[in-house]
Amino acid sequence: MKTRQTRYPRYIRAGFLTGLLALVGGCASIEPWVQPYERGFLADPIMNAERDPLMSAHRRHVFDVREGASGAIGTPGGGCGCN
Amino acid sequence: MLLRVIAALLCVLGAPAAAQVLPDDRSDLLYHHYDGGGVQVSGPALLVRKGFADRVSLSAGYYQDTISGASPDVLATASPYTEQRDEVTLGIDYLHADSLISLAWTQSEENDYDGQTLSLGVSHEVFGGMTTVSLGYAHGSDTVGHRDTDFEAGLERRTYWLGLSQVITSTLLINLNYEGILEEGFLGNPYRAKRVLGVFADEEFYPGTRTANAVAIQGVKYLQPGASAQLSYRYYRDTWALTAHTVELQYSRYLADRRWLLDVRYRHYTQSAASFYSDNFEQEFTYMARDKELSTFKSNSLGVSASYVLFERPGAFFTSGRAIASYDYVQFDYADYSDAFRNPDVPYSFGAHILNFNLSLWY
Repeated sequence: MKTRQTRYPRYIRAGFLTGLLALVGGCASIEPWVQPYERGFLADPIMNAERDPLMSAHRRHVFDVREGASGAIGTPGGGCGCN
Repeated sequence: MLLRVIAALLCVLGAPAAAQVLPDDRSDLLYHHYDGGGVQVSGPALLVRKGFADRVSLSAGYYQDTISGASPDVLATASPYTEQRDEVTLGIDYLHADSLISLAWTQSEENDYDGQTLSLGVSHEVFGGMTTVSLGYAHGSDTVGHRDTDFEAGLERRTYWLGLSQVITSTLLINLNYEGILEEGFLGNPYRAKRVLGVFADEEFYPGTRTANAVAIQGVKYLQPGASAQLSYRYYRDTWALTAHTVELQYSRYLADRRWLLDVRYRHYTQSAASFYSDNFEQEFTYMARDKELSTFKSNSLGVSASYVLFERPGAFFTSGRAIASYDYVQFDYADYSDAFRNPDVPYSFGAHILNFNLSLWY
């Protein structure tokens, strides 16, 4: 099937470039205000919304196939691959 | 765009960062069940992950849906059916220069729908581990068929995402995510028909492209002792003029010296209809759809999960095991969609039950 190349609007492409600049900005050193030894609570599994990957993926799949919206929540990039 | 993603990967590989870690070595076995709107879906799923030399983690997954029944929009022109969907996923995560690079391939097969997706993502910690930036791209290629005819059409899907996870305090984490989805090809459903002046006519007509943008923000707060609260919001908009808002709340808490972990969650979703949707058209248009997923509706769901630590044996082959049960009730309320045969004058609504049982083993 012949398809037409779809282009993102300019503001979306600008957003991606901003992301890249943020990455480049990582080269600069900024003093962390929460030290590694203070991150014990953050590392607790209770803070991870995707701590059980199969259950999270299933729950997201249930909503993705029944709602018009999808994306930006959970592990990205999957797509449905179903009807 | 692909070149930009590659450029980002190269930048990430060269940037200084804090230590990244590979995902845990674990296996999960799931049984899932959904019942709602005249459709039952159930089946097993398995996900196995194992790391090697602290550099590479391989994963393999299998997911099965057995679907029976039919929703009202399909029942209008077709009969209830039973079919099976099998999905296989293979993934590799590679830790290099403090960046985590993930490559995954997924194949999904039904008797009338095949899909393949290849995704590449990278995440990288910067600012002394205070910020994690992630970027990715996925390409999906689907083939849509029909059980009773030789109908066949293609669908291409390109997905881009950008994520930022930021440590705010020692107990607060904020996640920002953007996802863009471009689809081209057959975006309808060959079993559904449009309704014109109260009569089900020919098949629907959909545009050949759809571009969607979704942004989400999530805050996760640790609440002492041994509890957390999560709040997230997502805004979605696409070129079919469909706009959606999603709000999710979750409260989690350890009990009995962390042997039990309980989650209570609430989710609210609302969307406006696509510009070419109608339950009952008054005349013919270029694009016409009667898919209830494109109508104006809202859903509310309430769920609970209970997780129990079965054993913890440091040093043994299986270091720990956990069993989880979860239940969600979802209520869908449609504003401009009706069950045309059984109750044509009343907006359609239904409740759905989602049940999961999961066994997890760490090694």
